[in-house]
Formats: sequence, structure tokens, C-alpha cells
Amino acid sequence: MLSSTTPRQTMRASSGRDALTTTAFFVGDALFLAFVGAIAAAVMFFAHLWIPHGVWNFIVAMTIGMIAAMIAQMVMAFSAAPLLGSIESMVPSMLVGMAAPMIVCAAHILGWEWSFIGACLAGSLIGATIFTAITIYSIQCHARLRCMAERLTGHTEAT
Amino acid sequence: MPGITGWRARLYDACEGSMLRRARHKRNLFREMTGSTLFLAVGTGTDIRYFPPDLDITAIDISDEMLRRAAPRAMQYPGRLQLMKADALDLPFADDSFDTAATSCTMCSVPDPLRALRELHRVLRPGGRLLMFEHVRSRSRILGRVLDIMTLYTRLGGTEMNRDTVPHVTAAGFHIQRIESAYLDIILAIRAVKEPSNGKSAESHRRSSPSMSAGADSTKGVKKKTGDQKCHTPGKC
Repeated sequence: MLSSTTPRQTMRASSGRDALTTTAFFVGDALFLAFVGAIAAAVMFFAHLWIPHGVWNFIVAMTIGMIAAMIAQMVMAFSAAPLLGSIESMVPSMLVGMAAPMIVCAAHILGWEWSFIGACLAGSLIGATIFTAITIYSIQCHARLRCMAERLTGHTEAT
Repeated sequence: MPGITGWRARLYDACEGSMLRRARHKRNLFREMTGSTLFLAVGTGTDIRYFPPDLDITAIDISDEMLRRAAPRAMQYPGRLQLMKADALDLPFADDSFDTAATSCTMCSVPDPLRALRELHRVLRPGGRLLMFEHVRSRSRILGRVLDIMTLYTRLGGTEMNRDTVPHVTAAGFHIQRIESAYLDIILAIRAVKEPSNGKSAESHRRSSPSMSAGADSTKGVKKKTGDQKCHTPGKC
């Protein structure tokens, strides 16, 4: 019996699907990290807003803000895990969840009082920056893995 | 431990809902299964869909709850797939029983990964292949630290996020053929082989192995490193 699709056609369709999936996850990761950055920065913004100014109050606000931002990041990562992948969402978002609130604190120390929108935009920018760094690292990983395999066994194949 | 595995079984399918992302890598890895195959820690059977048809597969897990959930998926497999309760640290199989051994996110959960790999080495026949889809600690200092922090709470659920599994594979006696990235240097597809015991060199085995010469890209870029030869990508190791 003749098949309606040749193996080459099937492979082409499969690689097309793979490219589409890769692109969808690329966009999904970028949006997710920007969103996590915005929320984490917003959490720290409110911590500084609600706790009165002063040296000790600043430390209290920073501590409470960091803890709240990390909890928010974990909730968002767990929610995104079924779609983006558990490790794939948890690891980079933890970096964003730590860095985005810190930038709000740094601005506070420097006397730059950001608006709510400004804090969210700064957080999104941190998310996008970390996404870019992760993407560059992902490209470097191929060489790293080949190196690791060579070191371990003396033989390897291209990854 | 049974309490934890029972609890994990209930959450497993939701957490592994990211199959779409990992599907391509798993499909490419598990399609290299040949002959009599042992699949370690089958879980709820989410990986069964990636197994090539018409194989004789023994899939084990330590959790009754996981095996119960895997049963309907095992029934749909177009070949022989037997589910069995067994401990990865003490496999109830004779030496040299299998042609292929496969794992999927297993080494993060077994109490002693090196012992589990030695058990796999024992039950694989000489020349048999080990196919692993595993997450490991990143070589990046920052991402490695993030995984260390994550381990503080994932450990409560029985998962270690920061295990350095690749050196364990060689320490158990396997010869690594290829390592592929599924996500950064954290989720890896590892292909290894149990060295033939009849004195045949690894290189001659690799050349004669049908699975290594089948794919267009599987023999591409084979390199041999000897003596003090330097790394191909200096500064990356």
C-alpha cells in the first residue's frame, strides 16, 4: 500500500513543528521572565512604600520585600511549570526574583523615587536582561558539554 | 519514603506537563533503545509515548502508586512492556541481562546515584547502551548556586537539584559517547556504553555499533583525544 507521506515529508513536518515549538518557548520564556521581574519589583516597591523611611526601616522593608518577592516568584514559577517546564521556569525566574527587587532597593538608596510603573518597567528590564544572558549561555553550553565529555572520556561526538 | 513517593505520584503528571518542551529531546534519545530494555523509575509512565515500538521493555519503579498510574499507559505501548516494583539500588536481575538501560530524571531522586549506576552497569550486557535524560548541577557559578538554593526545599520532596551526575556515569564504568543539552547545561541527554569485556577497544566498538552508524548526525564530528591533547574550546571547561 502506498503511503500518502514520504519519510522526508514527515521529517520536514517534524522539524517545522520543532522550530515552531522552539520559537513559542523562546517568546514564552521572555514574556514570563519580564512578568516575574515586574511583579518582584512591584512587591519591593510596595514594601518601601508601606514601611516608613529610616535606616532600620529600610533594612526591614528590604528583608520583607525580598521574602515576599521570592514567594511571589515561586508561586509564578509553579504556575508556569506545566506549560514552560518545571526547571526551565524555576531556575531563571529565581535569578530575576532576586535581582529585580534589588534594583528597586538600589534606586531607593540612591534617592531615585520611582513610580509604580517605573518600578515595574525596571523589573521587566531586569527580566529581559537575564533572559538575554541565559540565551547567550545556552549557546555556550554546547561547547561546554563537548569539553566536559572530552575531559571525562577522551572521546566525544558533536552535540 | 513511601509517603513521599505517594505524594509525588499525585503531583507528577502536573509537574511533568512540560512534555511539549522536552518531547523532542526525549524522542531523539529513547528512539535509540534496542533489544531487551530496562527503564529505571518509570513514574506515571509519561515517557512511554517516546519508546520505539516492538521492544521488550521492563519498566521499574519503587512506588506502588506510580506503577498504578503507569499501568494504563503501559497497556497502550505497541510492544511488550512489563511494569515491576523494584529498587534501583538493588536490581532484581541477573548480570548482563539487558541490551539497553534508560533513565528519565531518576538520578536526582535515588539515595545513592553511583550505586544505582553501578547496578545498571551490572545488568547491562557488554556493549549495552545507557540512555539518560537527567538534570544536573549547572557548571555556571550563578546557576549552580540557584540550584543549590532550590535543593533546600526540593529535597523535602525527595529531589536533589544539584547532583553532578555525569562524573558518576564514568565512575560506574560507562564510557560516555555523547552529551546533548536539552536545557542549558542543566537538563542533559547522555548516551553511554558499557565497554565490551572481550578486549575490544572502545573505538572499534563504536565503529561496529549499528546504533552509532545509523543516524546522519550520530557519527558526525567524532573526535579522539590522546595524551596531552588540549581541549577544543579553551577556556570553556
